[in-house]
Amino acid sequence: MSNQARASRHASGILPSKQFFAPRKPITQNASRRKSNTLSVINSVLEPIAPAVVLEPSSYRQIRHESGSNILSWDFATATSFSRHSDSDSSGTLSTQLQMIPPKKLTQTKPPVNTSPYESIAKSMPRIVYNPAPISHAESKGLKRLYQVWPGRNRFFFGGRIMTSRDFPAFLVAFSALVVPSILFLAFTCPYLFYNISPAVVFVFAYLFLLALTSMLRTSWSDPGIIPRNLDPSPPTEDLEDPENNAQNNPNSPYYPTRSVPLPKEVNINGQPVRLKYCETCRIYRPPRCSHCRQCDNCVENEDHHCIWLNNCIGKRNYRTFFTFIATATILCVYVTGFCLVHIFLLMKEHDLNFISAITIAPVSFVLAVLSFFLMWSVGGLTMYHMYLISKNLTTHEQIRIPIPRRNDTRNPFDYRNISRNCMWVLCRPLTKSSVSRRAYVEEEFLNLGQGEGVLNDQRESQQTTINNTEQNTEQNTEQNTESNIEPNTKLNTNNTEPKITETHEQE
Amino acid sequence: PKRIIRIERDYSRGELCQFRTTFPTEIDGRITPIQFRQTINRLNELLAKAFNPKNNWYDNCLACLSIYTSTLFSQSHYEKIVEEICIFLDNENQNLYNINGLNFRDPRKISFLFVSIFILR
Repeated sequence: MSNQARASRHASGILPSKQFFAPRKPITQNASRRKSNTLSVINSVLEPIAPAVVLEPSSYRQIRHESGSNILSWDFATATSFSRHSDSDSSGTLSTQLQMIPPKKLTQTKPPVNTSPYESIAKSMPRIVYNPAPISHAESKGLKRLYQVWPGRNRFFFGGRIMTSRDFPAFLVAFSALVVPSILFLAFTCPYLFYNISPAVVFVFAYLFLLALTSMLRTSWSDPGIIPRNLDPSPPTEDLEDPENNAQNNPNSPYYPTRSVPLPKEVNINGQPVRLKYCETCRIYRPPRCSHCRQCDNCVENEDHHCIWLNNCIGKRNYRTFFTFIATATILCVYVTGFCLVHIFLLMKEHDLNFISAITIAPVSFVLAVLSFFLMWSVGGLTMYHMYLISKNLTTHEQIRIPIPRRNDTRNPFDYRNISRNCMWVLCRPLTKSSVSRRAYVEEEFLNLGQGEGVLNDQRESQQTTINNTEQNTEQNTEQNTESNIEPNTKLNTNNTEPKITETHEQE
Repeated sequence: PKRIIRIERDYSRGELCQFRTTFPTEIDGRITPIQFRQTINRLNELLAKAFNPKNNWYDNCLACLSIYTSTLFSQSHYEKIVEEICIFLDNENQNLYNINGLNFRDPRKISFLFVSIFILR
């Protein structure tokens, strides 16, 4: 088929190899905009496609159109999982597009390459499944779950479903500071308030108490956003002994012992360059705003601080529940103080007593009022501080670390310069799924390494490409690392790196 | 023999999770830069949709007000979009990448710090 015919078919909104594109916005709406790209797209896409694969759609597309189902891609085994696909606008136009393709036209397109060499292996490549089926008990014999081999200083309960840090006493103190006064309030003051003021007072108090309690437990017992380990097991390093040879490194040099220190990575955030340090314990390049917690011995994303009272780090995943906890605790303190005093004053009015005698009738209320008055100031102060941090989109670590004389130069690159926008961003963040699948079974080869993606050392080539081959430092580092790699240099790389490798050999 | 290459995060928009669209040279010849860019752009679109606070504030408020019981019953907007992302990457794998000996790996396992592509020789 000629290019022109193909182009006209595409322009009118039909694309024969629709199955090879993921469902996107329908092409008919954007035909005019994409026309210039379509020719190159069609040419590049149609060439490696085997005719056998192209023929498949015609037979089932007609069936699909008759049944009128909303399932977008039919040729996958897990069709049930795709039935929840919410991209409804493209599904409507898809059916109209597919209807117009007569099957015989497809057979006429003969691409130059017949079958791809990976055709056979393609079927066995691992799939990305949202909810993978659980491993049966027989297969899992002898395998350990991740929480049993976790290298950080965390404690796990209930079979890995709950994770906290190691220091318990402070948590018990905080827990009792929340629960005990509340139970005393409910037991002693609430009956009076229930009958004399209104039952709503008690219900509101119970609701606030439950909210504070669940927030506290959720903050304390959930994963704060720990980053899986061993994502960068062999980073590019530099020598400390030779400051002038900053760009090169000699990991294999037997001549003089130098301490090789991993180079920090530089990224550009909102126009500001930020250096990413390498974490030796977790063996990763810490993403921006990530911090390594000493008490938990983990790198945590967006780490705010490690809270002793809650026995957990406060990071990206539990910051919202933490803020909910301290806010509701403050409200509870104010509530308890207020209503205890109300109780005492009502007693004074009813029985015409002075303050001291009213206290002797209801001593618990007085004690509670004093206790929560003092608690209110500490928790309330913390709440105010965190409100300030939220309005500036800062974490506690960042706020503490900004040195005072440089405060004008270093601006927070994550700040949106708008209070409401900062608040929306911090408080309305979605709750991401934990990357530490605590109950997952760990394969034997990863037992010593922990978690994370494969350990292959070819990550350095990808670094080369992402910096667009412009920086000499990383290029030379990747060559040095590919030299010392177990895997041989590949065809794709030898074009770029061969001449440079010979140069460095001569230098050594 | 097999290798894994990474597509690093693009932090130019701040904290929002986006990936770079620069074409890695290792997969040159297997797919075209345009296809790759389309995949990554679509992935970036979905991620922006997932992390957008305007879509998530309702789920968060509901969870907070219902004392976190709503998380037991309903799937939040973020989880739905992540499911869509998984389906999209799986589609791309099945349709385009596996045939050329490439395979996207699940980005959730590395907490969206980068996207790995598995290259088969």
